[in-house]
Amino acid sequence: MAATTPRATTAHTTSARTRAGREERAGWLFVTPATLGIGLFVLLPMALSLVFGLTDADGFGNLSFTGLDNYARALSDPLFWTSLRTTVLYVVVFVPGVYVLALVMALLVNGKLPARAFFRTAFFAPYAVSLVVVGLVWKYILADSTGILVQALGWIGVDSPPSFLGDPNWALWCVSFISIWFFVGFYMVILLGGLQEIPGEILEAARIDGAGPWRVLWSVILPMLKPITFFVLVLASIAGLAGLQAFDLIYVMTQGGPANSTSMGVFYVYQQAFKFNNVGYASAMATLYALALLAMTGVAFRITRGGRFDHDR
Amino acid sequence: MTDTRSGGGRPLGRRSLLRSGGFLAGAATLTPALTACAGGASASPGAPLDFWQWYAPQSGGGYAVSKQNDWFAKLVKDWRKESGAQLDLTYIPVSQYTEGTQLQAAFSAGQAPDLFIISPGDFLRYHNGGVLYDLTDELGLAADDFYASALATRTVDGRIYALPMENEPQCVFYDHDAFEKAGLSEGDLPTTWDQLLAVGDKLRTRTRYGFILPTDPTVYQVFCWYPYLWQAGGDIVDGTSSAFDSAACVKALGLWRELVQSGVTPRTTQGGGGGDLVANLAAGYGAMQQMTIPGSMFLDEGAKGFRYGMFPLPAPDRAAKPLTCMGGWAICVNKKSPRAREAARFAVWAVAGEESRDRMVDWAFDAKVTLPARRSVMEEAVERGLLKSDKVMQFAASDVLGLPKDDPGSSTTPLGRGEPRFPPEVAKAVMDALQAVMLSGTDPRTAAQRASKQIDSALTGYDGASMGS
Repeated sequence: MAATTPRATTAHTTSARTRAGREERAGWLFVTPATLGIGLFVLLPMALSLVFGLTDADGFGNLSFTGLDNYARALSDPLFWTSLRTTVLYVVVFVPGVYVLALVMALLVNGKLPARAFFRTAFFAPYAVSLVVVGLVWKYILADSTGILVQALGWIGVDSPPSFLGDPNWALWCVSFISIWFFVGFYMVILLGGLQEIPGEILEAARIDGAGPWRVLWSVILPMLKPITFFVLVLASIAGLAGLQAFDLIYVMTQGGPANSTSMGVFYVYQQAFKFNNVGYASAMATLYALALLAMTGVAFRITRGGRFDHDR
Repeated sequence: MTDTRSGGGRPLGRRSLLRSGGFLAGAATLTPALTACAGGASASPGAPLDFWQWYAPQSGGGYAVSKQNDWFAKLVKDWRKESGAQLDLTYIPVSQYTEGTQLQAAFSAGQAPDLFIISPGDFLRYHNGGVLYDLTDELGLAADDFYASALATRTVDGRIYALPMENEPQCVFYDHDAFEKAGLSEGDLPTTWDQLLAVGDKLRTRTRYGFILPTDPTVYQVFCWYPYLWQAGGDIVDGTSSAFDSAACVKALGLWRELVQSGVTPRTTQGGGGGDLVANLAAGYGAMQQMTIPGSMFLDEGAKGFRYGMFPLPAPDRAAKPLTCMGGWAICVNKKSPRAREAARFAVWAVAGEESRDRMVDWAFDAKVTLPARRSVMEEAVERGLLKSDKVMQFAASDVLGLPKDDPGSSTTPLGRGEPRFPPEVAKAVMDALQAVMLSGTDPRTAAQRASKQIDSALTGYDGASMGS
């Protein structure tokens, strides 16, 4: 053991403190831009939304305090509940759909697929297109009578195809499907990153022990992907519940119709705020959605103990 | 184990990263863009007046009509010559203007223009929001020149808040070739609802529908349905309570339900929606389409060579009047503009009074091709022989509006009723009823009852301007 003098210890401690102080300052400098951005563009609007929810603001500068009236109104508004139900339905279809497909695609492009780079690019490509353009293109594909899909169905003998965007029983399915098609590349990339983090030795060892592909997937890959899976599911659920990712599609393709069947929460909030000038009421509904989302995220964190998984122990 | 501590901070491990990521993702996606709180002021004194509309300056696009563009450009030039003041035209695409949010968002952000145009369907939003400037005094006696039906929906308690530029009655456009291919002639043009269903069915093919109606949940859809309700003898409200739960309303809802259920009317429309004649009628998606009279300009410019005709909206039976709904745009002045008076002077100079008569004749008979909102403009056109020589205008005046041939400038429009004004919540209730019967197959009586409750609920405590037309 090497002996140290008190002076050397003091100098070492001072130097460590100085370094720590510099690191702390650097840390603050790094996070300041993001903090300012989030504060200005996320937290401040959220706070304002909370305040406006307690008023009858109309977007023309008129407002008076109405207490919790807007919240009471939302709870007794059938369209609020309809939009909530539509949102939940969308999430129930979108989240598992996008996860399973993204995982399959990630497994494919992580393996020894010929022209792997091409497929990686191709799977990700839809995500690089504007959602408005995507909505317009799909609107033409799904159009009644003249749409490509309807024509194709006619060629294979389906004489009375449904009105994909004009029938309330189909429209939400179509929006969900297009959302999955659009976002699956993005989630594939995240899952691909997770797959590439799994050490090859572990997979090799499993195979040597006689595990087949399904067993490897079920007993090795999926457990090791848990943190990424958790992240993907939470992110997709939040995005789905907030409905922001579907807003552009709905705006372009259905305007919330037919018969409110695609009028998700975010679209109804938009309608109330910008078409009916009920900014106060819209803010209250947005706050209710925010609370629901926070609660959902909280439950997810509670279940997974804050994203801690077995192999973290 | 690696210590990730830095200074006195907390460790940035996977858990905290996930927690932070989750929180930020939630916060970012939850952020409602609802921070609007401003009232709507405008340009500083000395800057040009800003006039928002969907006509000019533009070229190309589904609603581009070069004559309308030119008319507006000349208007600005003439104003500059007349007053020495500058005025800028700001073009907003029609999809963003009529069904979009750009104007309302501009008011919310305090960036609203000095002048803008709105339709009666939007009048109450802006009037009840307190942003419409009272034009009565600036207008003076020139107000008497407007058709009563055109001014009624822009007037509150005897004060005028918008100056109508035109009257746009609705009619039906039809495809000549489609009629010929189906073995139909002009004698087969439907005049009753039953005939509309029967003729529409005959015109259907595998890729073409019989009769195009707007099916998107928009204010335009409601605008197109009003005439059927009126023809059946119904109305939306009676004073400040709902009149929607009525036999007439059920009948009118039933017609639109039947049109879709029978396959005569498609569940979706193409291009810009139910008002887009070029993308639907001219493209062969439908053989007949409901639209306002100026639709002829869109077809002439956007589908050159397309052979079409027009006929008045069919009525429930031969005894009923084929009433139509007259839309039309009106110039408004932003009350919160620091230069509202100057803007008001421009608005009145532009479309009212003796001086603007020739300009409005040009607008009605050449640029827009729709009926004027002023009697003296109509009389001037008659005197110049313009009404006689223009088949579309003659059809609009006589067949659609029922104006007497010997007195087209008479103060009433026998078959035309101005587009009514309602708060958006009432329009939404009507829209929901239409969507339900057309696209969900809901029983019209159930839809009417449901909408009636919605309307009554929306009107509880309503203290805005009077509704209807």
